[in-house]
Amino acid sequence: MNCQDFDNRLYDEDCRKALLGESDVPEDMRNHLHGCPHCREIWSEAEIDTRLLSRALLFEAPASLALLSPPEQLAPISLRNLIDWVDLGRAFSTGAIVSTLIAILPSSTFLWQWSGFWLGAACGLAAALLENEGFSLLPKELRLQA
Amino acid sequence: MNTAPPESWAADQALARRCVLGDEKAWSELIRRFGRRIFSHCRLAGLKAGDAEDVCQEVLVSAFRSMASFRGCSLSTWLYRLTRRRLADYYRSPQRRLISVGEPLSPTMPAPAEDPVAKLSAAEDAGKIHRAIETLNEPLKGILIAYYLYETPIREIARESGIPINTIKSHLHRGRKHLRGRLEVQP
Repeated sequence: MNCQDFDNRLYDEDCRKALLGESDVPEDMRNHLHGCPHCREIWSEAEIDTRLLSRALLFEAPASLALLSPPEQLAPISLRNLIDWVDLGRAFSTGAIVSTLIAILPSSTFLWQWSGFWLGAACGLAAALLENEGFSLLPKELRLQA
Repeated sequence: MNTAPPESWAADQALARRCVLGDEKAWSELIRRFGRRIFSHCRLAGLKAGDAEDVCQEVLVSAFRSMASFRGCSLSTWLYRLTRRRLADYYRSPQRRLISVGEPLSPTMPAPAEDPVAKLSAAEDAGKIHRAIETLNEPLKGILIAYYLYETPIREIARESGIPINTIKSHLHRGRKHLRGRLEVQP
């Protein structure tokens, strides 16, 4: 690691935690700090600034905020709270794909296609709901950031 | 590059779902974790305490109402985005009442130090920082608030703002230097 790399790492999350004193200095940074007085100074300044800014930007919240009504008193739980347009869009697309696949089959009938659409939509919706609850059909490494 | 969402996103998603399903503990946790940050964001945007409180409550209520669409980022990023939108609405409204955030200094300013002199100094520093933040232009101001107040990771700030990561880093560096200068120069 050189001084440029050190600068580039300074705002990463593991460094933020270390600057706030919540964790140890990451090993690569620590190794560089041992041999570089210039970067030691940069680290010390960043330490002071991070601690100061994290504290000083916070205003004391009014007590009434903590007493804000629980959400169910503000709006009843409804299906709209649980499913949004993206989920419905995904369900519709899944249904359309399944019915198209069925249409390709030689013995396909309109009834089969229609049933396939609803079956696909139901599966798509179930997958979206499961995903919203923290489950995913895709392996972790294949999930992309939205 | 690792494109998998961080583990904390799953925890945030779970907290959001619990809120939607009416779990009062989850709601309290959401307010405990983010209420003060949202309120501070409003104050740093120049709102009086009373107005900041109103906007903060509106943000939390609208967060609840649109929680089904929460995904693909951390709760702090999402709430930061909602607060910015709500503040933009506020600025467009004719009833807005703006004051300088640095004065008068909030009587409830956090002062972690027990020593009265240190306490005064911390409050003075906070006041100076608030005034200095007020003088900053966007996107620098927003980046500092997102990074230091909401503790949003740089990668998420970059994605949210469309600004490259290295530019965000240089903004943060410049912002720190500016605030440091203001703290040293101001009497």
